[in-house]
Amino acid sequence: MVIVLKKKNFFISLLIIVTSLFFVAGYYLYKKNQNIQYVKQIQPHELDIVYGSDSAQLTVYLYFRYDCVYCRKFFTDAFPPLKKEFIDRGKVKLVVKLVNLTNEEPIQNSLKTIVCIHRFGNSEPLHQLLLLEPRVVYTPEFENTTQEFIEKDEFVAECMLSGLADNYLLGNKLEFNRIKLTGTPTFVINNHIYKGFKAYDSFKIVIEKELSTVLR
Amino acid sequence: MKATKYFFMLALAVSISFISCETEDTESCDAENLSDDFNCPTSVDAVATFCSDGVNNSYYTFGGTDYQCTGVEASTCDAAIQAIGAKLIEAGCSGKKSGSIDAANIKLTAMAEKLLEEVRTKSLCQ
Repeated sequence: MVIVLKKKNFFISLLIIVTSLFFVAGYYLYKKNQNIQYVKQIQPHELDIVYGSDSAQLTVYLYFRYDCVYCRKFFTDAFPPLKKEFIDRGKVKLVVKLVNLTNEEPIQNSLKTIVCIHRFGNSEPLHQLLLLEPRVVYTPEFENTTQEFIEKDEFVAECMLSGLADNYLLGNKLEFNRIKLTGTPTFVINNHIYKGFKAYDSFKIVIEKELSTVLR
Repeated sequence: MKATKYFFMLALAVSISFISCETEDTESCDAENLSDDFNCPTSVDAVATFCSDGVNNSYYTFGGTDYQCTGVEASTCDAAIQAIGAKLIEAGCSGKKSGSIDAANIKLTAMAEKLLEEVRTKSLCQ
């Protein structure tokens, strides 16, 4: 009688454990699938900073901040050879999605300025300046410069003042949070997420692997 | 006999868990707190919900109203966010953020000065 009861308890316990495990596994798969769906929804936006041809074989999305050391390091160390070997040869398109993870107005204004200048002018000098000295955004000289852009160019003014750039940056931030990213730089390539700075040699291996997937 | 009964119960549990995985909603929603983005006081409820079916439709819900986006991703929700932002500002949010670094402590290098000059002169189309 005791043995039968023990056997019964054992089976009931086993059943509860197995059932719980299946529910946990089901929930985990559901959340994972949901995250993949969000990653698949990432698309280029008119205010993204894009390097490379639209006909490139591979699109690399980069979530980027100028106030992040390793983001800047990507542009100073890994980007030049990446551009030479992959972007200029039409193999890769780099889509930079700027995110502001702070509540600081100077940072927000600098990001609005660069996306609007990129859309309606030449953003390269500003890009180089922000890579070299990101704290420039707090200076009155920088503030005056952005004000001059607004006064001189009606398209830049509309982009910066109508809420277009603000909403774009907010959209990037929401997207960043939705796909559960925690830091920058983060790369999204072929729906795969690569977090953190990579030296060019490591990054090249990733790019070649993802390119081979696309070409297969 | 009992082993068979438990086996069937286990099979039923497995089936239920698989069904629970299979029957997920096509539309998924996430709550987003816009409080920091619009600099809202704690008294203002700035939580909006973003919903997307992942195929061709997405929208924000705020204060019982749906704000339609133009695509499936958040970056297509400019108009929706703008409309929600206007509601939040009406409710007491300032929509502004404050800086934290003192400009007086920043000394630009000669290279940075030169680049700033280039920014001034070479950024806009002539």
